[in-house]
Amino acid sequence: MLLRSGKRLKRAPGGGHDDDDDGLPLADEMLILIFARLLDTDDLVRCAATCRRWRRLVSGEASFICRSNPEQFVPVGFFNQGEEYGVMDVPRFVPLASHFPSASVNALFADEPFRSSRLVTSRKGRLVLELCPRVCNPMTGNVSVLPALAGRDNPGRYACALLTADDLTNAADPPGSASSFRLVIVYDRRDFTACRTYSSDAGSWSPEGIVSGARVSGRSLAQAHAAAAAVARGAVFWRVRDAVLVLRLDSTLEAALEPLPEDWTRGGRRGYGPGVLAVSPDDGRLCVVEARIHDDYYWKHEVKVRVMFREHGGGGEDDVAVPGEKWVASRGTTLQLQAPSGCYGRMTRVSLRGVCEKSGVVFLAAVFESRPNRETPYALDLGRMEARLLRGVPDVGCRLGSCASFHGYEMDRLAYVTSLGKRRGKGMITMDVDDIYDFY
Amino acid sequence: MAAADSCDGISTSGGGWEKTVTLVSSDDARFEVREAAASLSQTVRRMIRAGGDGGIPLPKVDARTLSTVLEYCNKHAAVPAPAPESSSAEAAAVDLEWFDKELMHVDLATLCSLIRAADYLEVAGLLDLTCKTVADMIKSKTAEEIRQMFGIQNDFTPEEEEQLSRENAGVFE
Repeated sequence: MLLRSGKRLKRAPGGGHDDDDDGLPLADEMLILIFARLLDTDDLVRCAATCRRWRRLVSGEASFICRSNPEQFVPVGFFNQGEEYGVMDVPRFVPLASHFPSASVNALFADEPFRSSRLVTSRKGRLVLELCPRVCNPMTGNVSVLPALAGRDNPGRYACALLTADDLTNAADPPGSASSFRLVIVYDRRDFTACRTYSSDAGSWSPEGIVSGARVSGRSLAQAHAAAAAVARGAVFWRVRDAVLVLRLDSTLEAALEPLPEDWTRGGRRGYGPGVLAVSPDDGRLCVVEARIHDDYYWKHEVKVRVMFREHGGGGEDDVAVPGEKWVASRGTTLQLQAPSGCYGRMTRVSLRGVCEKSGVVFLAAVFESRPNRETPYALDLGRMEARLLRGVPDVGCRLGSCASFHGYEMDRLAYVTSLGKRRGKGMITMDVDDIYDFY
Repeated sequence: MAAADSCDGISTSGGGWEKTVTLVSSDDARFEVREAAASLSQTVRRMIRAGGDGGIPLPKVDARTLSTVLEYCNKHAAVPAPAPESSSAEAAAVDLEWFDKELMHVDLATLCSLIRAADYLEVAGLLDLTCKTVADMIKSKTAEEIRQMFGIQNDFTPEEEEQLSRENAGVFE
């Protein structure tokens, strides 16, 4: 049998999907080879949107297509949760790019006990919910219920961090599988600062350990709790007042409070609000990001964003972050914010809300004079240093002062690209058109 | 080369010092190629080893495509193995890059034929080059532009399509 150019080449065995014939003279394998050379996730998303066959291939072969950069993360959106009179609202997910089936995430919070739980933190596709802590992955539907720490074990106010398998490769006891996770909590005891770790492998909490090298008050920890932790090079970092708390993940439980330079502390802030911790998308360095209103005219809404990096000397100690390293000078960038339609007047406030740690996206909220009770969210891309207005985000999600919790949500590229093939509107999850918000 | 000596499908060129093989395309066009060049194709290399009569048949590649593939093989086989950093090696690399770029100045149908041929003939370098070229054509295009470029039928249902039109606005241009 001869196959000439221009004639269709039959697909390889197993690929016989008659329902997604697109008339293209390329076999599945070759299309996949082409997709594997598209490094930009957005390109893959557009390919998945061309026809059924392409969508099936992009999603079904995601592990091959994404193999060259498995470490990459995609900012997917954010969760936020209001609070009124001490009662938590139902957490709400707002996707950045609308090709994400947000309904599956919001469906998680449709019923008790999730709808009244408190969102504690979010990291790498997982969420931590409080009141008898749970760790769940909305994409896979996996939920782990952690044993409650009650009675004498009650930690009170605490700061926490969720660690996934790739954070723990250098740990004293490496994780059992790729889906293992640990939840570290740091809290205040009468005479010392304590730490406990829940391990999904063991299914239990570790005994209480004493943190050496630093003492942090419960109030500071509660403050750190509100902001997300960052994990870099074998250590967890929390922003605590004018310093950064570093906790090594090995058995020493050695911690340190690393003070930030003077112009980053209360006295010299020059209008900058509290910052957030992020990881630089360029080189993986930990950084503190802060923002303030720069120069505001009625037609020109400018914010100043400054970033300070944590330098490490390099070499030594298996590349583990050693407490006590230096924080060094930043660069300041002036960004112009696009006001949403119907918004006029000055900008009265900007604040940084949440972070997609690995993908280098920080959420910035601005308040305009004409809408004093509403926050307008922007996504600030630390790599490109540009801020985009998030359009169509419902007001209800962002009432001023009621943002009890706000957490960026990101997924690794593989999980994300795989999710493109999910048929929406099928099964238990129903797609609500109003759940799609365009990333302008 | 020892394997090639025992192979019937090999004739010796006029120069007498370089072996050639004859490749036969799907439309019965015959190509005489230096063995070193033809061996860039793992498929051909295996067939040379296996031996055969009256040229190596390549029933999945037509003459036009095969001539382009061989153009690539001849050029790449002529380049000596990466030598220590000499200026000539560097110049050769630059020249090769130019050659590759020029070779890829073809329409999409030809590119697709080349991808299929490179896959069938197992010419790794050419497969990489052609796939990369098509990937570059896809980059930054909207779904509709991609469909037009490849002549793809949009087979989503109207509901899905409505969703998609929103999605395309979502993936920022």
